[in-house]
Amino acid sequence: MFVTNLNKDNNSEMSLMLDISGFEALFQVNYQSLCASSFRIVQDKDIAEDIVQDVFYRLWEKRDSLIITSSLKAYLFQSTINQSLNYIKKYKNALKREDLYGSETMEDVNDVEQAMALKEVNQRVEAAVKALPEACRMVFILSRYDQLSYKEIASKLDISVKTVEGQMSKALKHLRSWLLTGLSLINLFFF
Amino acid sequence: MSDEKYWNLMSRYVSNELSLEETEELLEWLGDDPVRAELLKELQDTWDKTKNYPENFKVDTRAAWQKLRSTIAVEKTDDQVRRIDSFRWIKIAAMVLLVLTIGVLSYKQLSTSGLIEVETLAGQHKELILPDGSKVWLNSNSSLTYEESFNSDEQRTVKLTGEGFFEIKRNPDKPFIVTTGRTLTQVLGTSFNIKQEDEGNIKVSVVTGKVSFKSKDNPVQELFLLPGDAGLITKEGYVAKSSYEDQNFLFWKNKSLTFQNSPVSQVIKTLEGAYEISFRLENSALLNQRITTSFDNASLNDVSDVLEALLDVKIVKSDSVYLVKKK
Repeated sequence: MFVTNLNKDNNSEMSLMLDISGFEALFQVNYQSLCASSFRIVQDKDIAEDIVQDVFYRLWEKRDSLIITSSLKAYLFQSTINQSLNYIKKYKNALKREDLYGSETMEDVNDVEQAMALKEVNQRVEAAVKALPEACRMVFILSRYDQLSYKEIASKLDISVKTVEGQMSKALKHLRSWLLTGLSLINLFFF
Repeated sequence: MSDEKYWNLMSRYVSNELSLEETEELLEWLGDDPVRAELLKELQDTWDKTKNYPENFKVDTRAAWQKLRSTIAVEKTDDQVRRIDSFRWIKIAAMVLLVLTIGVLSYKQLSTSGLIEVETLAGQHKELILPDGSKVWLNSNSSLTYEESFNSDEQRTVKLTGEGFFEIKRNPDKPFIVTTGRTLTQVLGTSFNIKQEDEGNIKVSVVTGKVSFKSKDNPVQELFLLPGDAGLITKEGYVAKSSYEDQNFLFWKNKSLTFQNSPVSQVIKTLEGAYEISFRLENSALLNQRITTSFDNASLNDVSDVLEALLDVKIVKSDSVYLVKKK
C-alpha cells in the first residue's frame, strides 16, 4: 500500500501511522470501489456511501490502536462487507430462514418483464442480479466479487455450507437463463 | 445421479471452490455428453459477464471526502494547518520573489548557455555524470534535461521524464532539484529513484539521505522522505507516503532481485514487470506460497530453473506466456 505509512514490525502485523493527508489519499483511492462493493450487497447507493464513510470514520477514530493483520486495503474491504451485511441483517431481515427457501415475490416477476425490454447485456446483468432473491444474491455477490470461500460465506451469513452451495447453483441457473434468453424462467428452475 | 449434484459441482467449479477429486468427477460427467460441456461453458460465460456489475457505478468522491472531513477531528495536524495558514502570505511573497529571481537569472543565462538533453530509446539505458559530479542512470524511454551552466547556478536543476536513479554529490550550498511532471524533488546529497508511472503518477524511492518531494501545484504539502521511504504524487495532485520492502524497483538499473519470504503472487508480479513477460498458473493455490531467493544478473532461463526447483513445478513457454504447470 503506498497511501499510508505502514511500519512493518513483522510479516503478519502492522501498526498504522496514518496522518490526514495519507488518510485522504486512502479515501480518494478506495472510496469508489468500496461503495460499489457495498452497493452490491445493500442495493442502494446512498446507504452504500454512508456505510463506506462510516468505515473510514471508524478507521480514523481507531487509527492509533488498530492492528491490521493483512493489508489496509483488505481491512477496508472486510469492514465494508461486514457493515453492509450487518445493515441487511438488521434492517431488512433478509436472511431469515423462510427467505432462504421462500417463493418469489411479484417484484421479481415485474423485474422479469422489465428485463425483457432490455437489450444490452450489461443492463441484463444488472436486472438479473437485482432480481435474485436476496439471500441468493448475497451468496453470489460474496463469492463472485469478494472472493470469499463457501465456508467463509456460510459463517458470515450464519447458514450452512450446503445452503451456500444450493444458493450458488440457484443464482447461476437464474443468471444463465436470463442472460441467454433475456428471460428468467423463474417458475421452472425454482423447483 | 441427481442433476442438482452436478449443478452444485459446476457452480463450485466457476466460483473456484472445487477440489481436485471433485474436478475429476465433474470432468468425467462432462465427458459423457457434449451438451453438458456446453452447459458448463455457458455458466462460465455467465460468470464472466457479471464481472463489471454494477456497470457505470459512480460516486462523488470529492463531495464524500468533504462530508467525512468535516466530521473527523484532526488534533495535531489541525494546528499545523493553521500555522501554515498564518505564514501563507509570507510564503507566497517569498515564492513570488523566488520566481522573479529565477526568471531574471534564467533570462540572463539564456543568452550565454544552452540546454543539454540526454535521451534514451526503448530498451536503452544510459549512465551519465553531471558537471557537479553527480551520477544519473536513465531507464529506457526517458530523458534528462539541464542547463549547460547547471553547476554555476544557485541551484542545481534538472528535468526528468520517465525513470531515473540519482546519486547526488553533496553540496549544502547548492540544493539539487529534479522536476518531473508537476513535481519537485529536492535534495542536498543522496541517492534515490524517480519514476513517472504510466498512469501519470510520480514516485520517488529514497535509498540514502533525505529528500523533499512536493507537487508544484501544492508546495505546502511537502513530503520528507528518508531511506526506505517512497513518496507518491498522483496525477490529480494527491500526496502519499509509504515504505518499500525491497529494492526490486531498481532492477532496471542493477539487474538484481531479492525475495524474502515473499508470496509467489508478488514474486510473479515483480518478475513480470522486470522481464516484461507474463505468467499463467495452472494452480492458483501456488500464489499463496512464500519463497526466499535472490537473482543477480540472472537470465530468464536461470530464473525459471530456480522457480521450478523451489515450487516443484514445470515452467513452459507457450506463445507469449510462461505456463506454470504441475510436475
